[in-house]
Amino acid sequence: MKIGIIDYGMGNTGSVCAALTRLGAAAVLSSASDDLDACAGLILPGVGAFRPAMERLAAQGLDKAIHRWVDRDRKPLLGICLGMQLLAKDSTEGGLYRGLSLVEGHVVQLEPKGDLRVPHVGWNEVHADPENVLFHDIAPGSHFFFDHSYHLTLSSLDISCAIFDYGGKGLAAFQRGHLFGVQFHPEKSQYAGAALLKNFLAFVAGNTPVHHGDGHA
Amino acid sequence: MLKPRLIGLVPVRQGIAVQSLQFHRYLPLGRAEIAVEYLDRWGADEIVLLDISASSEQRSIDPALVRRCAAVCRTPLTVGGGIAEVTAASALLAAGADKICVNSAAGRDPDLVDRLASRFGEQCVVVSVDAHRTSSGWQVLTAGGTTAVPRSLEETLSVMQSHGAGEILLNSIDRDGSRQGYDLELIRYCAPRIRIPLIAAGGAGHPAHLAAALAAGASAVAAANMLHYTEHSVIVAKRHMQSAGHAMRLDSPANYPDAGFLDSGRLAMADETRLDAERFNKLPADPV
Repeated sequence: MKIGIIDYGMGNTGSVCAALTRLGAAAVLSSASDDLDACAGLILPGVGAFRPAMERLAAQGLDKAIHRWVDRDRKPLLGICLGMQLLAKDSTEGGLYRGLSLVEGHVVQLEPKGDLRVPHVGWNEVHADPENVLFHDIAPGSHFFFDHSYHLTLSSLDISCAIFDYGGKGLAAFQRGHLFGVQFHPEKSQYAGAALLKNFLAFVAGNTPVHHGDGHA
Repeated sequence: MLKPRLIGLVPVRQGIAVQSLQFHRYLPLGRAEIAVEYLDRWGADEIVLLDISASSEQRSIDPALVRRCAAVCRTPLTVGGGIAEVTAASALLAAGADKICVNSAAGRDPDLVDRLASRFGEQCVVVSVDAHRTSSGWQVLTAGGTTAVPRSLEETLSVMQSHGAGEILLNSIDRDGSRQGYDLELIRYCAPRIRIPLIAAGGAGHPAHLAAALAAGASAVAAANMLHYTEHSVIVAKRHMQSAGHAMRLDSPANYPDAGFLDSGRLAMADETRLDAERFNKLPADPV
């Protein structure tokens, strides 16, 4: 089963590829929509700043392609860290910039209470809905690796499926149908991270994508 | 709650992982990817791979080396050594790095930190600061401790933070490789002067040193030599820190739940009844 990693020049793509390869998936790192069309599921990775990320997606036509894959083809997509934030309506990182608007929510700076430092870096406990497909067989309160200064706040908590606590509660993961986002880095979260990616791969394997001709509409 | 991190350092010279002593004597350890794999399996919270000869040889750390290490590393991997431009950092992230560490080039040109942060985000940029104790205060050195930076330690911290550093990796040159413990005064001086996380490095030789650095204000502690020579060193050190009152991440399959410790910081042998009871217990296979 091919999993596409959307390559827009931002992020730890090498790490994401290595993690998927360790799980036996065929990771396809590409910025070409033809390559990604042929994948059963997609990952939008991201280590970076919001504005250059959106600019790079747009410059390569990937913003429109992501909408096509998610809305029309119903391909499962997992956004990681910045990749999750890009799915929001907008972000205040370095100004106010429009995102992909695939989920109702805004990205804002972390402002933890107390004397906690920002960025929020390290292993934090994640409290997830145990019924959620992404967290199947992952013990409640498992540690995942976080590294971020901004976070996604949802307009409605209906799609929230996991939270973290860092001087206040924050969104760790959401699921809206076949669209997923995680604020932490599963590719770098040892056992729990590998288990989460395995769950995503299982979801992709059980998903029936919608095919539209050759996919070049 | 966020757990303090124990970070494994892997210094590399000419492609070989080494043990460093005061930044000028080196003992070979072997292949870097093997050191990285052990640290990862033993529960390190992060791994920092530094090519300490790259800067003086006017090159940056080899992406092929990073690729080999990343293939076996399920823990965040920070890489550094001679990174002086965004393109080099980009190639390293594509090769499997998760964060970028800069030192000499940032000392010469703090705008490099801006350029890296605006492209990859502040959380991706670790600035390594090498401090040396003199009779008149702290001195900041770069290029493996050979070149003085024309800024005080306080200025260096503030300049790096304002240019977009996401974390400071603070090394004590004097304590490097000494196993005498971290320079706690140095940590106490720096921690209140920045709002970003501070990683202490240089001098750890006993698990008690790690807990002392956290108590002095470090957000994370890094160690090299004390972690490379004994099996499960990282888990054992974290268990020791836990017993000193720091909540640690201890979720590796083996994590020594009821461990006792010798004065040396090593594990004490479990009593005979316990060993007898465990004789026929089958440990689960590595779940991944």
